[in-house]
Formats: sequence, C-alpha cells, structure tokens
Amino acid sequence: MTPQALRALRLNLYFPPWRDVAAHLAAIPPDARRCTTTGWPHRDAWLQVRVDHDLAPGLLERMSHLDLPELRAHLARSAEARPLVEPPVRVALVDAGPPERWEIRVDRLEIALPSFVRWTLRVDGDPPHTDELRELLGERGAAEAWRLLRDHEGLDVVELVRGELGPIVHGEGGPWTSAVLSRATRGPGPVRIDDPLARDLPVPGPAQRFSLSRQRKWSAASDDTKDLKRWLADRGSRNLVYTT
Amino acid sequence: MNDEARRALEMAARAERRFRDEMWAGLREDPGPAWHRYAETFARVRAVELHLRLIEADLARLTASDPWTVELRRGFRRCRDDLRGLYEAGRFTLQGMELELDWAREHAGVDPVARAELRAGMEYACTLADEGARFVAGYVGGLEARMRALDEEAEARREALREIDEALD
Repeated sequence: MTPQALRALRLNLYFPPWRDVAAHLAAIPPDARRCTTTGWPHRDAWLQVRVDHDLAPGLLERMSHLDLPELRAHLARSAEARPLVEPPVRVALVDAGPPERWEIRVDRLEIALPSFVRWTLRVDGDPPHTDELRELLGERGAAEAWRLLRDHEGLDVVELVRGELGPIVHGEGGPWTSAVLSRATRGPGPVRIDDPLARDLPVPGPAQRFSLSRQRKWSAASDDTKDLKRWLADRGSRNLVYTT
Repeated sequence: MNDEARRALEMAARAERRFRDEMWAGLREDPGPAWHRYAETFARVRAVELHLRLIEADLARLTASDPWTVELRRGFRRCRDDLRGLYEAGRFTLQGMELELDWAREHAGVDPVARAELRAGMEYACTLADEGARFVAGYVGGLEARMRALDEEAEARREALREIDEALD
C-alpha cells in the first residue's frame, strides 16, 4: 500500500482528504504490520508516526553528542512527517432558499480502526448540531444513516453521501486498493449497487422513498490489473480499475 | 531493580489481571475512551524505548572514552536497567489493552447489559493503566535529572584530573 495507490484512485471531494492520509502513510515503513480486516497498516504504525513526530525535536537535541546515525535519520524524517489531523465539521450555506439549504461535511479519520470516512449531507431548514450529527453518523452505512436521520426531529435531509478509503485487498500479484462512494437521495429512484465487497447491504424498499447508489473503484499495479479485472468480472462487477 | 520500577511492574500486572477478569465479561459500544488511553500509553512507552537507546549509547560512549568514571558507568547502567523494567511494564499493559480493543471492535453493539459491565471494567483498568503511564513519564524525567547530575560529576572529575596532570607537568 503506497500513497501512489491512493493518488491513482482519482478521488473527488466526496472522499476523505486522501492527500493528508497519503502524507501520514508515507512516513510508515512499507514492512509495517498490517490490519488483517482492512489491509491498512496496523494502528500502532499510524500512532508511531504521530508519537515520533512529537518526540523528535527534544530527542534530536538530547542526542547531539551521540553517534547514532540511523536513529538520527529516523527522527529527522519523523520531525518532517505530517501526521493526520481530523478536520473540524464544515457547514456551508449552498442555497439561501427558502428553504435554506446547507451542506455539512463530517470527516471521521480513525487510525484506531483504521477507517477513513467523509460524510457530506445536504439538508433543508436549520442545520443540525454538529457534535450530535457526528455521533449519529458514527460508523454506519449510508442507508442506515439515512433512515436514522429521516426519523430525527427537525432534520430534512435532501442527500447524503458517504465516501470511504479502503479496504485494501491482497490480490494475487500485490495489493488492490479500493474506495467506495455511497449516495442516498430523497425521493423514489433506482437502487444501483456495484460493490463486490458489500455483504448484507440494507436496500431501500418502495415505501422508503429514497434512492441509493454504491460504487467501488480500485487501483492496482499494472502487472496486476488483469487479475483484478478478472476477479471483478467473476463477481459480476463493472467497477472502475486504475493503474498505479 | 529499585522499588519504583518494581512498583510500576506490579501496577501493570494488576491492570493486566483486571483486563483478564473483567474485560472479557461483556461488550463495549465505542472504542473512543479506550483508544485515547491506549494512545497515551503507547506514546509513553515509545518515549521510554527511545530514551533507553540514548542511555545505551551514552553508556557505550563512556565505557569507550573514559575508564576512570566507574561510578558514572554504574549509575548509567542502573538507569538503563530501570528503564528496561519500565519499558517491559508498559508493553505488558499495552498488550492487554490491545487485546481488549480488538475484541471490543469485533463484538460491539450486541448486549447492553454485558456492554455496561465491560465499560465499568474498562474504566477501572484504564485508570490503572493511566496511573502507570503517568508514573513512567515522571520517572523518565527523574532519570534525565540523574543523568545530568552524573554528567556534571564526570565533568568535575575530568577537570580534577586535568588539574592534577597540569600540576605534575
């Protein structure tokens, strides 16, 4: 898993800030322990970048008289690393109305899991309390979040988009990096789901009056794209595949 | 190992026992608070690990360059051994917390009664781990002060030796 694999996915603003994730990722050694479920580096590897970044200036000063070239080089790199910081919730008025329409962007960048998700909501009327919204969204899927928000008093959701980085699947010739975008929109409409990794995905019935789409895309090394495309075809998927 | 380092080890062992006895009793809803404690403990253990490497290097330097400072080397060795004890204690605590985090993530959100039990156990264990971590941080500060004192002592000795050399010349 490399920052180039994230760049190759050509992610738009509905996805989490992938450049920040890639910058943090660049400071993690390639042989770091992996999380078995997500394929991301293990949380300790992410944490170590942050901790070493904080400790580096003091330690470099303390070791000025010591001959430790490897440790010095590591700490110098750590001092220059850019550890991931979760941005605050962004609320913007996109239509003065009436009714006023607001766009709310919530990033949940959790190295504990690891999980990198961006929620983008468009709501009519008053914007919701942002802390409450962050709690409500949690680690839910788009359809579940939609149902929850629809039942939430005083909230008129027009559209909800959930972009997530990962997981990384171990392909036959190397890692296959993926990202998925789910979109729930007010009003009846088609359900378009093309995600070979989704299992037991709740699908809206005709009575629920919202449409849902979910598309995954992939990046892999050029030698490996043929295998990935075959793997997708075997699952009846037409997901986009990019070359790193 | 001195009394302070032994106390840190006992504290970590107590936290580990609580993890075993209580953590497995139920389920947790949110890894948030546990994660923050884990991250703090991780940071302190990492600080000890890196300081340990500096002390090792200092010890090697002194051994190679100054055969007169037996006391100083003894002092540094004592610091190094204490730090090793603290590092192992911290790793021990982290391993317990790591198991709990993994397990909680797998089972989150199933049984509310069991979840409440686990939350209570987790809070207790986190308090213990946090106390241990704070103690480690304070102890590292103390060691740094001791090392500085030893450095000054070594310098004074070198100065005295220089004066003797000059007098002899």
